Amino acid sequence: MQDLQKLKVILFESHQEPVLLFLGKLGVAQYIKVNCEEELDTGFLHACPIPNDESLLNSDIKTRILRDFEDMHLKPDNKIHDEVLLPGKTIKEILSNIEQKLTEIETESTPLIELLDLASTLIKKTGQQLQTWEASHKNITSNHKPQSGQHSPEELLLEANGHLTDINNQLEETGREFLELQSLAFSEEHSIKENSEISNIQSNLMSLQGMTLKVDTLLEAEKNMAQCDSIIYFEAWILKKQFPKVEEGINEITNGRCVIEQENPKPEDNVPNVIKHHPHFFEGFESLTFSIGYPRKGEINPTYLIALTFPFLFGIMFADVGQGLILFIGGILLLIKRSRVDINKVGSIQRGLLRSAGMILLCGISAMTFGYFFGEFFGPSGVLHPVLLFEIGPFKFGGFDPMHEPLTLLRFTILIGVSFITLGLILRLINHLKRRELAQIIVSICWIWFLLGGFLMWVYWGGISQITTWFGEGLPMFLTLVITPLIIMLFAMAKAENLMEGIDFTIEVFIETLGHTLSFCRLAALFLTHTALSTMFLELGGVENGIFPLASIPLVAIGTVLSISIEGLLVMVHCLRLHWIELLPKFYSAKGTLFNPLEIK
Amino acid sequence: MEPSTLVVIAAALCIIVCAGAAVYAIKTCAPALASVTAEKPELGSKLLITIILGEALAIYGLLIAFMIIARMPEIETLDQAIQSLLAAITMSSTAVIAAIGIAYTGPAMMTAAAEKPESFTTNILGLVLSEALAIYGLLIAFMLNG
Repeated sequence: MQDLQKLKVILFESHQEPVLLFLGKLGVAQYIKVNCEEELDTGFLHACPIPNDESLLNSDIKTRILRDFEDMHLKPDNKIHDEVLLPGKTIKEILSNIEQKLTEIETESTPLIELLDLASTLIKKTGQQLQTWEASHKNITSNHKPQSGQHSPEELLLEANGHLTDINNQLEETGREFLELQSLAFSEEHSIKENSEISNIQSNLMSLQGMTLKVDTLLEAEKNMAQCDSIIYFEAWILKKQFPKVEEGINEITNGRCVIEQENPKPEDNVPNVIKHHPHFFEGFESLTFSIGYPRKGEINPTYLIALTFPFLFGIMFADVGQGLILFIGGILLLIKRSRVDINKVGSIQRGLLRSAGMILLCGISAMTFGYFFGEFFGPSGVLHPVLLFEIGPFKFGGFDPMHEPLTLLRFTILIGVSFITLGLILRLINHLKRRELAQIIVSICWIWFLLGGFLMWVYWGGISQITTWFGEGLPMFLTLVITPLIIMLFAMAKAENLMEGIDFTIEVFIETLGHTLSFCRLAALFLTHTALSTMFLELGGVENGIFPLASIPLVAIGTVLSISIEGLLVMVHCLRLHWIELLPKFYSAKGTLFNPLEIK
Repeated sequence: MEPSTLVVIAAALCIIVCAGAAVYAIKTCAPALASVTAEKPELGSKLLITIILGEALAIYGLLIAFMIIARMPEIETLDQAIQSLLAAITMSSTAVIAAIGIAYTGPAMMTAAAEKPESFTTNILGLVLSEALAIYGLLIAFMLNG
């Protein structure tokens, strides 16, 4: 566990920016917004304003860069650029360096811009002329005045026809010449663009743009500091082991005229969490868990748990050996590509696909496993038969055909649902045990008791249709298993907070548990729709008893493609919903912050 | 009326009304999603869940219609046919109800998330609970079907 400590520094205004740049180069400090209610000896602190000149200059440079892009008919590309900032002691120096480089690039590119402008004006003019000629081409016939009636009508008509064809030919000639001119101008413009100088200029401009964004982050960081006359005070979180280096560096820059203090984090502080980067395989799960928030310090990091449960639920809904195999192979190919390609240089859709390589692979394995147990190979084609894994009481794991026994599948999914919610509640219990909050521990235990008690009642005495027996013969069991934990939970919560809160919480637990358990029926629903879709394509192709006639293979291929895209997306979203709403809120507060030090190369 | 006619009417009714409910939910959510992603593209992938949940209503309808048609050879008496018809009516009505819920909560949640992305986890609850109504209808229709 890496320890974070609070760094407090007082120094002179003139040393502010060099120290900021030094800490940025080391990349170790996350600045805290200083609470400006504190008093110093000589007056009140007030928040540092963003230096006006620098920010104006920065935005000037940004607009110039954008204008240069437009002048050269270029577009900024969407790749991530990671550039080294130009050297300088203060931000002002850096900005003047950037401006110098920009003027260099502009002078370099002026002749090219002139050529490009010429080419585009030429194209526009020829286009305009062509349009007017085409418009007038249609009016040509009506402008022709009829001659006086000396010749016979046939001769007149013949002469008029000849005249007309002459004019038409001439028009076609001029039109063709215009088109040639236009295509010449187009090809010139194209060759100028293809010129390697332009791509050079484009990458230079992009790197300058990246640098302006970094200057932006530096200026933002200055806002977090506090100022009093000409003295600056700032606080930052740094790792304990980096402290000697930081102290030495700051002393060097300020020639010893500074005050540096190191403090352990107090319990009421919002300490950021240092989360190590997960290996490439689990990146997809990382973005799934952290998109709702980060864990607080001391809480369990659920990424590895989700790496187990997400494919498990996915496999139940998408059970099919053939399609699972396709997903597995796709995952392996993406993993191979991921290890070869630099992730920052590809487009955003490819980046997303490459990040989720591990997830697709695990989901494929899970889909193959459950497909084997339910006897599905591109649908219930008869190649595989359902295999029974084990049987606990009325619950069968595999070994039945869900199309003909849907109620068995429903019972199976309710079992899975209850075990998942129990898992979440156990993790909640562990979290509370770590923090030693007695009332919450009792509440968590009662919740698990209530859930498992209700489940046992359902298994033993039957469901909604037998509800009278619950109050009849099974009354003592009902009281101990279901009512008692609710009452204990009410008292524990009422003691910890107040009575109203206790009643609220108990009712909420009751309704929420019932709803969340029933929500797992969507596993059965989605599985059946997946099977139904595959069955439709199999019946169309005429596949029976495991024999695939040759004519059915393209149909099955189309069915597979449709199935993986539509059903795959749907199943993934439902899986995600099951995690975000049923599993994670039980133990994951998602209120932490990430330790994200300001890093500038 | 013959039992087989009633069963056929049941299956057709189920899928038609459920698809209509799904399109109502999607038609109300999609413009809001478009305007929110125009302002903040990074929220787009999270907010897609509204459209997917709307689409799920049509899937449930498809499932029940399929189960009704699969049971068609076993239905002989009028009572069994009416049972199938009522399963279809249950599913369709709950789908319509869920679609109305999604149509009201979806765009509101999306516009709130555009302003404050932290409110996403609280407001997604309304959407998800109205979807749960359709699940309850699916369950009962399943059991009515046999």
